[in-house]
Amino acid sequence: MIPPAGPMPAVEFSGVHAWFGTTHVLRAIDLAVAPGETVVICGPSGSGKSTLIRTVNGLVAHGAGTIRVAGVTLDGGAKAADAVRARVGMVFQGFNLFPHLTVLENCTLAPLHVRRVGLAAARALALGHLDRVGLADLAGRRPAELSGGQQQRVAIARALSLEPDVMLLDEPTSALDPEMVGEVLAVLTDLARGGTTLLCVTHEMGFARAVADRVVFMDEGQIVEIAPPEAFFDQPRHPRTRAFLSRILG
Amino acid sequence: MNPDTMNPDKRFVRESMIPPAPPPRRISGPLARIRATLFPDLANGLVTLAILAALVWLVPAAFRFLVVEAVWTGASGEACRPEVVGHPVGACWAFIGDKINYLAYGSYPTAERWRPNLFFGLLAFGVAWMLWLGAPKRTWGAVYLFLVVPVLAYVLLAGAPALGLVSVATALWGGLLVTVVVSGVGIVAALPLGILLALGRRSDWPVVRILCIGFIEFWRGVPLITVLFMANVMLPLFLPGDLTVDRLVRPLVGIALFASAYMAEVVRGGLQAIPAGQRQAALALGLTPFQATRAVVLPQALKIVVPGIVNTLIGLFKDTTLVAIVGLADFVRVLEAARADPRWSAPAVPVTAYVFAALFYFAVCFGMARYAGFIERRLAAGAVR
Repeated sequence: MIPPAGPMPAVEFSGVHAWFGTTHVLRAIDLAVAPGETVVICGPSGSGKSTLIRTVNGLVAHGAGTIRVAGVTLDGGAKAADAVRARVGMVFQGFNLFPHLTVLENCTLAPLHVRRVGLAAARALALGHLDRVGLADLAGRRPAELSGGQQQRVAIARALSLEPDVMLLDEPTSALDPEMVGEVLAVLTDLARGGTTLLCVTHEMGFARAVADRVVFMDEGQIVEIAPPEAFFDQPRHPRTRAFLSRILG
Repeated sequence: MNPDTMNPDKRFVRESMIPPAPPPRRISGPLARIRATLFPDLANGLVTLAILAALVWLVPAAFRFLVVEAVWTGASGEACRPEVVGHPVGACWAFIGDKINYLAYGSYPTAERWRPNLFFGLLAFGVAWMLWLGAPKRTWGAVYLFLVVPVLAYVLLAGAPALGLVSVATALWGGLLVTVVVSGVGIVAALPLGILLALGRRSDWPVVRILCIGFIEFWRGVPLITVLFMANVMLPLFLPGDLTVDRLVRPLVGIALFASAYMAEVVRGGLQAIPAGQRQAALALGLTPFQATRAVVLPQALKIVVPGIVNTLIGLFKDTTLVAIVGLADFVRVLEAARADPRWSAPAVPVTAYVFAALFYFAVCFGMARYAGFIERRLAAGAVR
């Protein structure tokens, strides 16, 4: 396991707060994610876990504290946000594929417009990532022609086409039919084992136990407990963690 | 009926799967389809019969007026008088034939009419290039239609003495030429301007947003006739004395701004229909807000509002007839002038003039509607579900 305090963390929160209007949604977040580490974030709904990973690429602006991603400090400016987003891939609960573009075009968008490689290179790159998620043969289809599981795998390939330093996953399997969860988790497991830095919000506790380096438990906008998966699941310390685990594991 | 699956006490396991079978004749085939569409029940059947009766009454009458009793040749109104011809007279097409050049060009000098003709040709080529979706290099088609044609049109129609083209005052322009120029400029200006206004109205910058809202609501809040009068009478008062704006350009600007306000609201409807996740996903991929709008949000939004855009364009095209009120000789205005010609005084002539105008506007608007329908079906085919 990689110690969280390496030479330069991939993602570093220090004293981060965020508000929606007057609601205090993130409170005093301190967390460092090492390069190559897989961190699973869980917690009850409304606990701020989605908000937390959305602050990493500036989709949600934090109100106080410092967030550094791959050495870039998010200062609320467009320049820093663009620099960070070019190095951070994100996968959403609802896939958010672009329905007017083909699968391949979804995946070449970032290489063409952000990384500015040529068309041929962008296609080769995108096909490589589609192949990695097992969907290279569907490159010419529209997202609407794919199953939910296939769409989410395309979304993963699309995020990978940035060749990101960090991948953010916001409940990637929550919108899927049960029979399709497995194929997506298999791709994510492959990513985690392949050394991609993952920051994953999920309720898939089996995945967390098998793949995570650390599990972060959040409640009421704050980090309540951080532990390696064995310790987290077998000897949870905080009463809220225990209550949460007993609710979802039954 | 399978007694085993109907019986709550009995366990059931299927032994062989049922292969698909064609539907019974009753629910498919041409006869069944006619029955289902025209006579599904008594009330619908009666409506069908009523419509058929109306058609039986109207179609032959229209055919008699437009073709059988129509007068096709003649040099004056005499040819279209029933007492001269000896039978009831329908449409007096001879009148349209005699005036066709006037209807097309107005008072544009006869020797220079090759210039509007060339303009019509250049325009038709550009429009065909854009509308034919399989055409090569459609980006260049857009550049040609939206940048090259307007400049060429101005040089051709207004004249450029330096190039040996005699200046033709806009007061002489008329008929189809004026209608095409006014509606063409309106369409070319309203769409991009409307998109910008719609984006501006949703901007994060309050100043931009308020300016766009103010602009849109101002133009939507005044009648087009008022706009045209304002453009014609008031605009010169606001401008410095030595600066005059052409009397054709004034209403043109008014119509373009008026239509762009309506277009902006149509486009805004499309922008609002795009889920926020689309923009977030585009931003998360590192696209700038501008790129996210251009490559992800706008294409989807415009696709949704094709019917609304075409509706606005059809309205704009028909509204151009109002420029007659500030003295421009548009298509309807020259028809009016032509039918007042004493040489063509006959009862059939005014009727023919209005029928011709109706047919002309209907043909153009119906064409736009059909093309929009074709585009919608194509876009729908591209995005399943």
